[in-house]
Amino acid sequence: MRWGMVINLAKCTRCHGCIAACRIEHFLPLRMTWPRLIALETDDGFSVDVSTYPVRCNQCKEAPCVEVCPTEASYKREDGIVAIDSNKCFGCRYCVIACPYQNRTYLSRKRNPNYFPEHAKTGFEKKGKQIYPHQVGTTEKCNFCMERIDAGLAKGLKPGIDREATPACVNICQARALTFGDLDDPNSNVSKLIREKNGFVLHDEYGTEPSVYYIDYKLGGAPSNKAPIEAQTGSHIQHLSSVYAPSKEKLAKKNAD
Amino acid sequence: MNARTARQWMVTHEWMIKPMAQTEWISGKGLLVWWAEVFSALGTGLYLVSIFFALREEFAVTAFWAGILGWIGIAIFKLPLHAFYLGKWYRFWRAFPPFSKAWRTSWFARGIVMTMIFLVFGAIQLILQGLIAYDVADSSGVWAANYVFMVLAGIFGVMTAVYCGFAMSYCKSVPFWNTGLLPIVFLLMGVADGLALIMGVGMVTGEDVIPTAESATRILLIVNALLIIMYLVNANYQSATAELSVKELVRGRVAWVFWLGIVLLGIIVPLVVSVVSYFTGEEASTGLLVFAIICHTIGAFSLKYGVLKVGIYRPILPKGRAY
Amino acid sequence: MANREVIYSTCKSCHGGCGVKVTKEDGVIVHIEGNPNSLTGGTMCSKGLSSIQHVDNPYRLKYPMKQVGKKGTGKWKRISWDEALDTIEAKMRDAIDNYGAHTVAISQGTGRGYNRYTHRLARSLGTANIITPGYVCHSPRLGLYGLVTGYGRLYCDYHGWGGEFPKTNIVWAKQLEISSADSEMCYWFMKSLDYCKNFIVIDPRASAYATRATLWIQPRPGTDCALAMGMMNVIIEEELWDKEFVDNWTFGFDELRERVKEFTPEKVSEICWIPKEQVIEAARMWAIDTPGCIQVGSSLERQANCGHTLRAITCLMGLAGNIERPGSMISWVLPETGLIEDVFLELPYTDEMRSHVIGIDKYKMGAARTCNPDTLVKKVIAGEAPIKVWFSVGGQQIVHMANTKEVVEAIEKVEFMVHCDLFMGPMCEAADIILPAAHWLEIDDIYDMHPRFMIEAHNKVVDPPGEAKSDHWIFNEVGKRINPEAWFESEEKSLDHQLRKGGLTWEKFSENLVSGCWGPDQVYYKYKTDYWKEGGGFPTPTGKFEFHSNHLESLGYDPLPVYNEPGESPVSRPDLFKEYPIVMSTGFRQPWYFLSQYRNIPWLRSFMEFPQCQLHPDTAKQYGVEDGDIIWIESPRGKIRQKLHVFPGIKKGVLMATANCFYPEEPSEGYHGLMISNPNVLTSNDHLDPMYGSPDLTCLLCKVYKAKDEELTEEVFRSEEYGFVPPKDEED
Ligand SMILES: Nc1nc2c(c(=O)[nH]1)N[C@H]1C(S)=C(S)[C@@H](COP(=O)(O)OP(=O)(O)OC[C@H]3O[C@@H](n4cnc5c(=O)[nH]c(N)nc54)[C@H](O)[C@@H]3O)O[C@H]1N2
Ligand SMILES: Nc1nc2c(c(=O)[nH]1)N[C@H]1C(S)=C(S)[C@@H](COP(=O)(O)OP(=O)(O)OC[C@H]3O[C@@H](n4cnc5c(=O)[nH]c(N)nc54)[C@H](O)[C@@H]3O)O[C@H]1N2
Ligand code: SF4
Ligand code: SF4
Ligand code: SF4
Ligand code: SF4
Ligand code: SF4
Ligand SMILES: [Mo]
Repeated sequence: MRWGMVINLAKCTRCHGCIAACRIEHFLPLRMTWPRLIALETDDGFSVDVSTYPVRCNQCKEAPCVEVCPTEASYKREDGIVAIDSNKCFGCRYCVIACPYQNRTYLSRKRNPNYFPEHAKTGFEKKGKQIYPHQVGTTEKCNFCMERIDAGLAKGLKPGIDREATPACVNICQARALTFGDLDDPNSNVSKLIREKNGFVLHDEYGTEPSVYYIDYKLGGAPSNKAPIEAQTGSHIQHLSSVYAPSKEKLAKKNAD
Repeated sequence: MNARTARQWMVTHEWMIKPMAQTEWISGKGLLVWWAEVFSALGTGLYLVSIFFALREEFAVTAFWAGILGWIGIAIFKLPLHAFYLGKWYRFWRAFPPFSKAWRTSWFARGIVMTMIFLVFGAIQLILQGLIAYDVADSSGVWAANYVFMVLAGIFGVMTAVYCGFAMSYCKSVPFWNTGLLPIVFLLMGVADGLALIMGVGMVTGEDVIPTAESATRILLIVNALLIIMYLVNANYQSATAELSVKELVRGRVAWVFWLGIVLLGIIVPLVVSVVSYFTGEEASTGLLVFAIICHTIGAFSLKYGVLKVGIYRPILPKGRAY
Repeated sequence: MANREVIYSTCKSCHGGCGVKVTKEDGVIVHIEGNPNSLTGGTMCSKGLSSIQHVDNPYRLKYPMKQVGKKGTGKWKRISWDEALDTIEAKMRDAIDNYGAHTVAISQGTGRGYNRYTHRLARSLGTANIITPGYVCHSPRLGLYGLVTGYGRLYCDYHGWGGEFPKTNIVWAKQLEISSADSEMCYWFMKSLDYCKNFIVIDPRASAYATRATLWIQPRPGTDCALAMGMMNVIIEEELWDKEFVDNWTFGFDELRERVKEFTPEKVSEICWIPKEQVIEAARMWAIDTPGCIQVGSSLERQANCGHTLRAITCLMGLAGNIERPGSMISWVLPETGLIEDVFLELPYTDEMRSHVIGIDKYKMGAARTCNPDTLVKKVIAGEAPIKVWFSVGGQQIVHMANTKEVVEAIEKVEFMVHCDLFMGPMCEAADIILPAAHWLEIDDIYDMHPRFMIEAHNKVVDPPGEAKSDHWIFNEVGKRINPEAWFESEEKSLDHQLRKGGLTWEKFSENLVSGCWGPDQVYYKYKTDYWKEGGGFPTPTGKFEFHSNHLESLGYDPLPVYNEPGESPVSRPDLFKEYPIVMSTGFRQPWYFLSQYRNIPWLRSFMEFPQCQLHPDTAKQYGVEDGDIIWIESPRGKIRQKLHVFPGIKKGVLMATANCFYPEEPSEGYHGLMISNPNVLTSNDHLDPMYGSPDLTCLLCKVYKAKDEELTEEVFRSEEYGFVPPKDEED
């Protein structure tokens, strides 16, 4: 089992929803951001490319950040997630520099003012201090929402399929640009996407073997516009309360077509 | 670009499309890292030179005091500076075995372990050296023991001197550092610093270390100058980002540190002083020597500053401009 | 053990509509995410999520206050709700009794789920001088769809309920993927793209999906009508139109055929500054690969030729038969609760009210049920429109209307103004009394903006801060004081009233969260059934889809679409073009801001500190400005500063400026930096659409130059602290 994410560059809209979701999920300090978006806007003389690369910790298989960490605060879990034990980290920031994807951020005092710096802490912040404490003087990064995964697995749920066991950013993305699943399972949603859409990783040449893949393609060009049966019957939304059933009279008016 | 626009560039969605310099180890509190690294170079350099001089009985006192100074540089300056830099300094013990097995992969952990071992062996060696220098116990047994500890402390001293270089060169994220030349540059520059400093110690002890030190300095400085040129040329061809670092170093905002600090004060001035004395056959005047030593030390500060400051991350987009 | 509670509701941090799931612990919101059991599948955007920073925001308005100094100086005194409401009642009564009800103006911002109350209040007071941004936002399209098809609310069928998704998707001057819910939720649109064959984006600037589209056309701003005419020309010349539909169900085809004859691809290429092949290609895709949808954006409505542009685009839909078939443009069957507008439609719109509508004599399509705001401004300045009381809820007219200088002048002339808002801002500063409004997480209400196939519930999660009240409550209280018969005993009674057709009470509905009509229950091809008309047909006067409109003709307009140059373009004003050599468009929604809102929300401000404008690298070079510069943008009416984003995705020679911006952190004087970056300082209210009275906001002329450092003296340029972005050398 190795958790991985596939990011669809064709679909990402640069909406920043994933960032907001992560901030909420982990009660991130005001100036701390785990996932980031990188704007790529190029014109090679023939065509223009406007893309947004959502980046977050790649949970590298060969993770330089883990290798350099002198305290073993950064560690790799069985399931491939690279995590930081903030009770062990002593804030040397070696990993911040060594991560070739610049996905680690040191939580300095300046990154940790109140949400409204000239005002008292909001209720959300106060709660956050109890529920998800952050330690100034340590380094942080995306952890693939391992708390959600662990809690979900404990309930017998499937990460990437069941929402409760899936990372917050994946759940929230309106464009459905993020897919989560098991890279070791060749039939998982992520493995299929990587295979079918030629998934690639950032800076393959570093040999870090990231668990975050990207896919990119042109929109449009679909072979058929026929709606699958679930869309036609609305079966996927029939659980919604108070579905309006048209009166017989109106149904009769419905086109026989 | 003024501060305002610089800040604007850090907006998340513009993040890292362009190559950006690392700031963790050079800005704000990161300045401590710079100082620690300088003391690391000066301390180990001086110590290594001291054991070299300790081989000759006539330099025993100088070697002793130079060794002490070097040891102090590491124990009292470098280590605490490093510790103060830590976000949580009181957790420093977490880097040591048996609390951590990180030394197996982490140059940082290794460095700290080696520094500690060096300090232990160095302390023993310095006690022995003191005994010899001040004729307290000048038996062959003491000499033999001193040799043994010299070798041991020397080995760990070298490791202490090079590990920062390895720690930095390990970072694929910063191509300018990501080269095997870096530890060698750091080691040899440290030794050259040590040679300069030991002349100062010699002036105080009155032992005639200067001619020996001068002749070693001459060679070493020329070697170092070549090494630095090689390092820069190599970086220039290694990758576009490293090339950018080189540009920044020789032509950019830190160019004055490079030309004034590293090249002029760190290499040319001491070299000229030593070369002049070589040709005139006379020892340089004390004033001139002190000047050269100060210049050299400024050079040591400049080198570490320059290298840390122009550490530019390789942007993380594969399709972006070819950085 | 902490006491956890989960509450489901509906977000309206934009036009709204995403289902949300909110978790409270010991009374404090600790989590917001999408409700997986909603039509948006549990997804949300950064605006909605950042609501967490709204509810406990120290800058919220908490009490009614009255202005005790000169307007715009920010001297406020807290008053009680009784005093506030008494004063409002007295002023309104005085105006109604002595000058007539039409001297009371009611205004709102863009739709935020309370539109129906605005209109009900106006009608219950007896005035139709309602000021809304509808005429630059959404109304022209509804009006024109209504004119042509008889039913105003045409939507894109992105759902597949009828068995097909759109094969050809046109996104025309719209960034649906981030502006959502102006008609359809972006979530549905983005999903439907998986089934789309041709994806066409018509936008001078690359939106998020433009560079991945099948075809991306970059017309010169303001020339879209010509492009639509050109596409019709190609379809007709190449005989690609839907014969069955056009022959049987449309009116005026031959005249249209005549009209578009001159719009050859060559001519269109010249007008729009695009290759002629693109016109042909787009036309073929649209007409051959049916069904298809056109998602129209409001950039087309912010133009003084909006009426005809939208008419032309609607005709284009008809030509391809993309009306009422699965996967095309459709009018949804309403939920059983009926049309939400019934809440105000049930009050009479009298001839007396109509006769006093400002601008009705001129803008006969737009100023039918609401006034023409730009005419109102001109008239107030001239002393011709005696607006005695202006009751404003949640809109920043002072920011969002064209020609800010004149708007400020007019607003300062209004004798008594009330503004109801969540935060202090320019409109508040211009008011005499401000009323604190509740956030959507703090109210019980019915949400219904778009689309028309469902309504949703806002369920109160936390209490509003201080004495803030829901807009609903405020409307009800004010209304009751003037016209008690037209209002309700309580908010809940009002909600019950609004739900009565569905046999629902608020209590029940609040649990159900949603009431709608979808899936197989929707009805396609209504015109082929008795749905609208016995024996089939459209609910238009001719019973047909009207290429030719007799109604327009009778109002004195051209019955067929016409292309007109924008009022200030390189073609219409070559003289001005010499001095102002860049075509300017404004708008360009950002995903994390909603119009002028959210610059006071740290999480959102962190994404973009200053409003940005875009120029092509070549254009920037030509005028000596660089990426990251704060630049001046100047038009004949004034100049503003924005940060330049050099962007290869924008058409050369075109500038795109972020609209609707002020800076909450700037002082009250100067209305919180109203003049610093707001592009309406540059826009003109002199040239308006003849039908709708819409000003040209997206096609004007400007010039640019770098702002000098010493010109950046305002707080926003100096303050390190308000910038929520970490400084570069940030280590401590
Ligand atoms: N996140 C977010 N969502 C919003 C809003 C917001 O502020 N933020 N505002 C809401 C409101 S009130 C509205 S009205 C809608 C508006 O939503 P949209 O209609 O999507 O509005 P814009 O983003 O202003 O403009 C859409 C596109 O039109 C292009 N454009 C500009 N001028 C022209 C032109 O002359 N011709 C053509 N073909 N294209 C042009 C712009 O480049 C832009 O990409 O969004 C609503 N949703
Ligand atoms: N140049 C240019 N001008 C434009 C546009 C453009 O693209 N270019 N776009 C136009 C368009 S389409 C529109 S719709 C308008 C938009 O203009 P407005 O709708 O006026 O939008 P805002 O300026 O954001 O003002 C909204 C105000 O309502 C408050 N508010 C938000 N929610 C609520 C609520 O629930 N209750 C109450 N009481 N207050 C609330 C906010 O705090 C804010 O002060 O601007 C128009 N002006
Ligand atoms: S939420 Fe999705 S679409 Fe939005 S920025 Fe993140 S990945 Fe892109
Ligand atoms: S992306 Fe960086 S932080 Fe994440 S595992 Fe890889 S090296 Fe470590
Ligand atoms: S900052 Fe913390 S996690 Fe990173 S290397 Fe140092 S101790 Fe390890
Ligand atoms: S996976 Fe979780 S931790 Fe990582 S970016 Fe997404 S929300 Fe944040
Ligand atoms: S799209 Fe609109 S309704 Fe949905 S989460 Fe964002 S702000 Fe809320
Ligand atoms: Mo709008």
